[in-house]
Amino acid sequence: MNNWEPKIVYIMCSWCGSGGAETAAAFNLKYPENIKPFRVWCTGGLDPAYILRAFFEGADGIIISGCHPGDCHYDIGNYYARRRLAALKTILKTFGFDENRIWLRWVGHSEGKRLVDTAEEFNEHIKKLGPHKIEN
Amino acid sequence: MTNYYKLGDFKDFLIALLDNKIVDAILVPMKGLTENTYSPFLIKDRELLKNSEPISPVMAVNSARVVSQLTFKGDFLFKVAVVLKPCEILAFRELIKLNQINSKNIITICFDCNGINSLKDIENRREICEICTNFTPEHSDIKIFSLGLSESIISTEMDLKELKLEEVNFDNKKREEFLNKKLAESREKRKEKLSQVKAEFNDFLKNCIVCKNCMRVCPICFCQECFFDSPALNGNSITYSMRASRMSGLVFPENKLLFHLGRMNHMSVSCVGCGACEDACPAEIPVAQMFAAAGDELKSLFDYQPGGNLEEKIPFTCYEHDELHSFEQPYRETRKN
Repeated sequence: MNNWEPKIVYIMCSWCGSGGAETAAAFNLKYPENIKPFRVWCTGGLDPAYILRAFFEGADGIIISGCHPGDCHYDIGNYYARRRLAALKTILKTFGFDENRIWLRWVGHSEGKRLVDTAEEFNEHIKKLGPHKIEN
Repeated sequence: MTNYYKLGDFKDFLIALLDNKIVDAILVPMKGLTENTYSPFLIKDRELLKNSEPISPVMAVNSARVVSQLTFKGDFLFKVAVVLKPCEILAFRELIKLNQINSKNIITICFDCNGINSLKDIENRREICEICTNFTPEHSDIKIFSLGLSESIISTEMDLKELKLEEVNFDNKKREEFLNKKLAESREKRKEKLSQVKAEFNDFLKNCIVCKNCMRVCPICFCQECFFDSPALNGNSITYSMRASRMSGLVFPENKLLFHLGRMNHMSVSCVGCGACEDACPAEIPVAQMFAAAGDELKSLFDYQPGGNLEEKIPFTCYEHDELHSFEQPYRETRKN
């Protein structure tokens, strides 16, 4: 299991999360290669079913980054996202699934370092937890 | 001002409503053609009303869903009385919030529910009714009290003088005592039962055949097209072989867990616990109890009661600026570049 690389999906909104990735690129910062970025228009448009689907398709962990609260390009999308994710995590916890494989951390457009740090920190967090065993 | 009247016979009361032109039609459960089938009928004929069963022993279809079908494309043009169970009235109000019911010209009649029987096992009380905590008519126009009383009482703020009902001085004390006792009992049962359901969740789902009956009978699941019916979930041969190699093998029908957990995310915060899903399940999975377990958590998280105040918004359609910070991952600068 030493060579095991977790599969991680990094869901970022197209304004701040992706912007953070751009800033990171501008500063030549690197994040682990097993992290697959996945752009959504706004985190408010992210249905919990998509996150569940990613788990069943083999993802070991999922990070969601959007604009900081109050900073959303569409004003309020990230507030809705926070409510939906809170519900998703609560439901997963209720039935004994591991809700810590989902992280929600706000990343602004200019915060390239924060995005890279988040990716690396989460990668190590998932490596500690090991492969996700969930059967559909 | 609340008026109290003596009820007498429920059917006679409905007939009197029709005779005195207080309403023009009544939606009420009636015995079907064969034994033990009851379904809601929209009745305008007083003779037909004599065969109705306002307090039906089973719930073939949630009447709130029927009302939604009737009024989705516009209000009733005449006055209609709708006889609903307490869980149905919560669903009714939740559907008003979801813009699925036009409630103009509708008078709701609700009664103290003592639980109903399963469609599969007509003799026994349903399990979800044993752990129900909403058995009183809270929000209807005409309320009928019977629990803990020797005779049924009508409680209403409407003017029913034309019906020439016998007015009574109603003392709520005895009923409230009874209700508090019943509520405490069922709360305790609920806690016990739901913790059991949570523990056995994975075992239950092994029996699921993904027929999606639970979704189709659910009053809250109103979407014309469901995400879980969409072809987006079908893979091609490559994705299937990838899935098979990743897991020990593929189980069909697939998407059991995705369907149930996904649907829970979408609607369990509005779940009224009517138990229609459990009645419809051919694999005898306690779907309603699973959703009650998830719903209770979400309702306490968002401090929301389905079917309550009509001004209060459904949690996923509103937000607050400063809330739920425990679900965000705090950022500590650990790395130095």
